[in-house]
Amino acid sequence: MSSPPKPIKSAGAKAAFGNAGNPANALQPPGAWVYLWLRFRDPDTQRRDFPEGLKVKVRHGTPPNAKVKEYTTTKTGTKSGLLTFPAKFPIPEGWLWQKTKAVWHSFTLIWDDTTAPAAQFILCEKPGATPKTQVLATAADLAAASPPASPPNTSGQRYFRLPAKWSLKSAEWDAPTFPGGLGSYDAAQGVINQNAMHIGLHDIGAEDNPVQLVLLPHWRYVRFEFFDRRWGHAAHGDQRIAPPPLTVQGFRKAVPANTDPSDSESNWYAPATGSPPSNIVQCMPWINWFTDVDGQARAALPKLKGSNTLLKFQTPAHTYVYSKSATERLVVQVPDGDARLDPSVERLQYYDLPEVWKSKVYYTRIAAAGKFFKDVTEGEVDGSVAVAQALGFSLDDLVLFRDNAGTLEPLDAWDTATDRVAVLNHRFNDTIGANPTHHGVYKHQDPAGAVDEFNLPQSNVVITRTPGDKDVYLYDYPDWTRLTLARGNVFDVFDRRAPDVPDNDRVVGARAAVRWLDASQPFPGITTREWVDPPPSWVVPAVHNPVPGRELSARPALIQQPAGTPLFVYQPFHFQNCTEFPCHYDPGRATRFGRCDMLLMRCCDVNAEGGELATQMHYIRSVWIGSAGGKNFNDPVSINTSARWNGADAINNYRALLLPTQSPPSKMSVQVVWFDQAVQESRAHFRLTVGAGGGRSNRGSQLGTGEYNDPGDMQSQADGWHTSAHESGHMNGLPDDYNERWNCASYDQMSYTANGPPGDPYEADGRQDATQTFDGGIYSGSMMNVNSRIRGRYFWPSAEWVSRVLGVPFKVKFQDPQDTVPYEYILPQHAQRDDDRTYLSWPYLGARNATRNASSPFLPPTANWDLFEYYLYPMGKDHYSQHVLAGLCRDAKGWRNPASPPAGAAPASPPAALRFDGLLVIDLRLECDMPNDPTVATEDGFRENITAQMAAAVRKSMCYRWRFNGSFGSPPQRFDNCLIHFAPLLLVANDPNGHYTGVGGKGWDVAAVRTEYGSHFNVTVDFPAAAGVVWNAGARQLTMSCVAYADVGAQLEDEFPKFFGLNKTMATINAADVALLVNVLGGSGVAVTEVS
Amino acid sequence: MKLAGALMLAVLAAAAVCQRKAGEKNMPEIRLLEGLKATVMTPAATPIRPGVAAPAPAAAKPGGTGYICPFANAAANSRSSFGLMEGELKPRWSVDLPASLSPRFVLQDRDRVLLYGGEWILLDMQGRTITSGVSAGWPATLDMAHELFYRMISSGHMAAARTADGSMRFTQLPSQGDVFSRRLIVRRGDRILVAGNERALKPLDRGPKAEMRSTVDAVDVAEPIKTSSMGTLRPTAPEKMLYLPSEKIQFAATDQLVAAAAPGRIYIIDWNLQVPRTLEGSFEPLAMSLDETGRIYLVVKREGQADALWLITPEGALVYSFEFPQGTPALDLPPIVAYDHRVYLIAGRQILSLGVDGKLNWTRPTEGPVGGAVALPDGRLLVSEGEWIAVWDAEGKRTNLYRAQGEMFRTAPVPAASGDILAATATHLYCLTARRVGRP
Repeated sequence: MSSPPKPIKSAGAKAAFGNAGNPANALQPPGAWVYLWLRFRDPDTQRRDFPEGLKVKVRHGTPPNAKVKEYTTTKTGTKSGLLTFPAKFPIPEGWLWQKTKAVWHSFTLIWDDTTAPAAQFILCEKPGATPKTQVLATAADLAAASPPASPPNTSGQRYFRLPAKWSLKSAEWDAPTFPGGLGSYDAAQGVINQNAMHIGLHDIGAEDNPVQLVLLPHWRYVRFEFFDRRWGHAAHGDQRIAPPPLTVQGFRKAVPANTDPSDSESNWYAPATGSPPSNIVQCMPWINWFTDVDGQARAALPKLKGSNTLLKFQTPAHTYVYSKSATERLVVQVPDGDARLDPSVERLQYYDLPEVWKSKVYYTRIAAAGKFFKDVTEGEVDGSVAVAQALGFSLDDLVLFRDNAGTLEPLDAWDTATDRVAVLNHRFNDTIGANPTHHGVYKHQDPAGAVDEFNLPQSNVVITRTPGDKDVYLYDYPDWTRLTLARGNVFDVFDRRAPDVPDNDRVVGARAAVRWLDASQPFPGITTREWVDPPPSWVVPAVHNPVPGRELSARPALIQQPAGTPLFVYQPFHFQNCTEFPCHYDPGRATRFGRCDMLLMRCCDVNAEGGELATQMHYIRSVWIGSAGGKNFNDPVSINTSARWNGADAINNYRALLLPTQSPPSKMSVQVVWFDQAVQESRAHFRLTVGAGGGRSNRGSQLGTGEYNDPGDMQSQADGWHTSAHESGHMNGLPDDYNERWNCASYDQMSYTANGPPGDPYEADGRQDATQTFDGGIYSGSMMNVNSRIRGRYFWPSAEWVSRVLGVPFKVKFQDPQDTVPYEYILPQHAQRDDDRTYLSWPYLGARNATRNASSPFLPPTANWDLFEYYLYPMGKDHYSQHVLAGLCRDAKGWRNPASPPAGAAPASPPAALRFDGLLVIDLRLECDMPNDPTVATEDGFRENITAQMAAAVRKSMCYRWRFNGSFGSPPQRFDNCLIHFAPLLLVANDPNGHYTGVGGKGWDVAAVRTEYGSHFNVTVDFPAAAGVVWNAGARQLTMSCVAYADVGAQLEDEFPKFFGLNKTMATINAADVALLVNVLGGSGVAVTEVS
Repeated sequence: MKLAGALMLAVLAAAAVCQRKAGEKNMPEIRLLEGLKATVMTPAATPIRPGVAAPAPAAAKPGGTGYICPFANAAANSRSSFGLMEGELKPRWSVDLPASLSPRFVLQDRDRVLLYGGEWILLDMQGRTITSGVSAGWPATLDMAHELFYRMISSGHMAAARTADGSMRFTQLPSQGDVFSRRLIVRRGDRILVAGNERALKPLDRGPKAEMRSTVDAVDVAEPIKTSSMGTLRPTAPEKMLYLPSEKIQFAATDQLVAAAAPGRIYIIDWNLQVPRTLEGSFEPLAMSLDETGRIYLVVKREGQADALWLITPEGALVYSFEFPQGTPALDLPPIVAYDHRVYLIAGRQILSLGVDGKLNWTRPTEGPVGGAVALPDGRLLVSEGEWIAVWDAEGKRTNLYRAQGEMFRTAPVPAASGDILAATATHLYCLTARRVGRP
């Protein structure tokens, strides 16, 4: 638009003179003209022109005699915002001069869009762009110019909305200067006056020198921030950054009605120097600053403060900040179900924005301090005119919610006095935030300062209840937070927002930490029962809260959020089904091991390979009874126990990873994190009695019970021994590695009773203590054996669970500190893995009374002589299968074949031939009759030395000696290097002195054990004057007569093969003989060889 | 399974994974087991009390044939049989070691070297490997008089192997087998004593309620030695096993006695496994060594008091008590008893030198972690400290002898009769010599 010739001052002027339809009007209107140049001051204090096309109402005079005429701003050259209109109206015919005078003596400007179809925005260039531009636009215009529609404008341009109604009087203006003193600005009345002496004689301003009217909006800075989950650590200095500019609305009401127009609306932003380079603050212009009441001097509107103001922004549903790169962020809409929202490392680039965000009960960060918005003072609002003093709002602030059939609702219970939270960072480690625990608890609360002994470990953060105790609000948390624990429940923190609800005391737009299920309440469809005694019986309670002491009828339903491609998977009360214990092996019988919550949290971080890092958490909730230390006991015990498993103590420094094995390869990894926490009994999995005395530490997973005999069990000892970590293994579904040597009449050697997998395939993982001696005194044996080292196999059930959940096979990656490299552990999937069975604790093949139908080697031969039990286990790669067994084999070579001692320097790592992928256990159940003595101690000494001789003889000369390959089972499982292990299982049955039973007795029930397991052979050991052996084939009995204890071992060296129907000794038995036993398994392509 | 049994077992399973009944262990007395003959011993309990000041025994004469077991000899006094050849040390040879070996001791006698750690290597004095294997725990003992070396194997047996080629001479299962961890193997004539502590194999509480035992076995190996087809020693008489009702006992032995230090008690044991007396007091033993007269150098921990070194006669007289200065780190090695009865204590990176009267002579920092040390016949202390092998004289003056650049010595430096010094880092076994090498 070009400037018209002077007679036609503007469209408005033309209309005023009745010449609107004649652009070439040649009439020279009478009187003076007003030349205004409307401008505004931006947050950078730069003066900018109002755009052309802005409708302005000019009101001459004072109501009720005022005359209002609307004009439109124009542009001339580079100047816009030019407003030209006659300083007076034409004198109507018949009017008095004085009357006319009264009309044009003064004027004011009014903007009133309350009836306009669309709000007017002033759209300017993006920061740094030239030239500076100002365009009048509607929201629709903005959307069209810069899709997507809302928030409008993502191209970097800035805009603000003019209030629906404002005026020269209601706004603040820079005092104008009038050329020649022909006018004056009366701020109190909001008018510009024509000096009387010049009435009708002169223009106000000039065409080439218009009077500048500079609007001074009261700019106030606000800052929105979030942590960029993809780039925040890598490129933003671990700091939160701002989302792309949002259209923020401001209201001069704490609770505006839905129809109230905003008093301020803007996306104007400015770089916040000194912060991350891409950080910005947003600038909100408050234009109406004074009252505008006719006939009254203007007065300042109430000062802005939290209690009389509301800030708000809205986005369309499914709006995300897409961090395209470390420096480029876009606002995009991604519909639910879009593949971009599926769990992946790329998912971290999408940060959901709230559909509605409101300031009312939001925490406001002001410089280094903060307070809730409702408490923000006038001074603080007034002060927010500098970047550093901007009112900051973190979109990561947390509010705890419960899910109610798809609706997020406030928690149904919260005890302000005692309830506390543990806020965990997304890495679940100690690299983020202040004073974190090894597993990521932010601001770990010193237990001495805890309110009670529950909810430990916990975060020492302020927990705020919103007015009316409606919401639970956290503004102090690590960047960023993936999980929060409270009241024994897990709260998923990732992609949900506090919804917009009518209740103005509720938080709107914050990150929702969602409790998908209250695991302390009865589960739908799940009943419980309690074991009571006396009389021993099950009792079904009226209400089925899953508290310690109650067995659940089934595993509660798996929760997946969102369904289909879950970011969060939650299995409360997870357990493994292991072989029933302590019972004989029966594939049809299983025992529950473990009672913990299993979580899979996707998209926790970017792993070292650039792939997605997910986290599988084992959450174990315990109530500790009788701990004298209370909170000072519960906290360190919980942390220390998890630390061993999480790779965070001196004995284990490696956190187990689960890696997918699908093709094509994936860079994804899942870290396994154990989290023990002390909670109230009503929210616990386990009730643990401390210092009960009289028994050893134990766990009962079905009922959630357990004991610690001594508080010293609660922490790692100098030699690595950590009883609490061992028991925690049970709580997480792991059975013992060791055989029950102490309670079943076997006198410290292996009994009929396996405490874990039948055949005790991992019993040897701790039988030598060389490392304990030479590696700083640390026990080398496995955690579930001798309470020390973590093995990769322990995480196999975790891998199986994740595999099931995600439908992709996983393997375990774990490195024992004793190894130089991590090993990848993988087992075949169990056919009943959906029943939480794995081949870690179930044999691939097994039989408790196997036979090859051999005859006895005695004359006359006895048919159906041989009986033994076998269990075949596949083994993945871990320290046991790759090193421990190799060491035992190498150690064994030295004495087994004295003529050919091993030569050469010890290899740096075991050769392939000594790395095993399976273990075949062949056991004999030998019921024994042994010397006795009225004195318990003496009798124990006799018997323990005899059983030691029996076990050691077999271990020395039959174990670590043969291996085989072949395929077994259905479907056929290939074993390339399977080690064979023999063991006598002992039951010393004779107790003529009553040491087993009665008051003060050992409590051994030989009859029960015999009934449950049965014996393969009988062995009598006697100490007469001369040594020798006698077989009674009919009685299936071997009698060993001894002079010295060593005779027991020596005689068994000669007789042991005969139990298998082999007329050999340990010295003469060979691979072909052993193959006869292996063939009982029915494999194909079986070849037995000596371990070389 | 009958219902009752099933119910019982189900309850067991539900109630406890690791149940252990009271009364499981019941050996509170000192007992000597000989086959099926058990003898309860009631030795005189002698309180440890300050004794009449007696002159220190005369300096001992250097003896022995080498560094034959951990801390040089069964007395664990770290006395070197051989002195130091003057001059700059240079490698005569070295052997690369696998990472899995993790060396802890170099045993040396005559022409054999047994490097022992998580694994072991038997070598000759030219650095040639004779054989190797993995270790099943401390200790190992070189017995060149019988051309054997003894070690524990993973089956729980003590194995005697020939030093000529490493082949097995015999195996013998000490009391309780692998339930125990052995701490001492010492031979005098045809008798071998094997001492050990019960291992905490049970994943159960280790608190004061746990009753753990220790044993000393007497193994007679008179020629001709009779073995089974698998090499198991066949004794002609029942084995002798002494059961001590204490755990974590520190053992040391001379040709006259075995001292077994348990919390609050020192058992004085003769070679026939008789226990003439126990010396009693309020202490927890931390480390122990003996001198040639059987005097006991015992580092004790005491309730509410500083750790101390006690010198106690076998009769229970406390010759002196040296309290460790405040802040002294934990002792890493048994007291090193020089031939003149001065004592060196290695505490962290400090060396403390005590006079024969138990008074502190000097304290000096070391150059790095101490891998081990020996007392030389001339009274000096030869130490592996960090990268260095150094010698300290009686006045506390240090002289560097050899530096393994970038490596850390893990074992004591062991002088051989040849004048060579043997010591190992994690990656190398060095044979160092002050002689001219490579020249006629």
